[in-house]
Amino acid sequence: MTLAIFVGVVLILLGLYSIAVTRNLVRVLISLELITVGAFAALAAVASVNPTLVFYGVLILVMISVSEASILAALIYRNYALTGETDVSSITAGRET
Amino acid sequence: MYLDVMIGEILLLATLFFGVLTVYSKDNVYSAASLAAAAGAVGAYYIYIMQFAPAFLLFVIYIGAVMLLVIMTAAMYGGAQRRSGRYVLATTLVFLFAAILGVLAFYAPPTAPALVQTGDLLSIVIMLLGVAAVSLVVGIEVARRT
Repeated sequence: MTLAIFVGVVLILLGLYSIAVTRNLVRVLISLELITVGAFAALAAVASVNPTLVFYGVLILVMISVSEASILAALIYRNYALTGETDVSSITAGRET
Repeated sequence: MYLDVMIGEILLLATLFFGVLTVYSKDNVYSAASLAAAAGAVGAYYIYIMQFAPAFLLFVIYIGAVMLLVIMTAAMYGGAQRRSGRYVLATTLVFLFAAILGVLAFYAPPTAPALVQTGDLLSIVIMLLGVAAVSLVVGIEVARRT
């Protein structure tokens, strides 16, 4: 296991941990991006074997992260406009109970 | 002297440092700034391993668009609650230390690369232990909050 893969795995686990322990939507957005950064770091280990795979992998990861960031940002803005908070627990409409 | 093979390791460890700082900064702005620094370190690592097209994507699209969105969102909702002198001091010291190490590594005489054949079993065991430890910590933290 190279250092790049190790750093990538640690960053992904840190991001998952941060998502699990927070209820703030902004922190969720930041943690999701941290997971993406970890994936970038882990993908760098493949560069010596297959550079084309790395290029397309980075391209797809960037596209995914752009879309997820825009969706979460829209959720944050809308939630703040409706409730005045950015906390997940403020979203009560739409819940079953 | 192993400094000539250390630039990549310095960049990756800087990424790790800023990633940890992202999770453990209390203010959203400092957290987002650390995240941008981690992404920049990964981009620099891509340049170091001569992958210029992925580095271009990382710097222009990822940092230029996504990080801008994240930092703006963090600044609008949450922001900086306190003047974190310790954060600035710690990041400045790490930056200076990494820069000095990088300069030393750049000017160090080249040595022959070591051929190390690492076993696969050890990495699998380490990964499993890491996943078990993180699952335990996440389980305890989630249980404390619900």
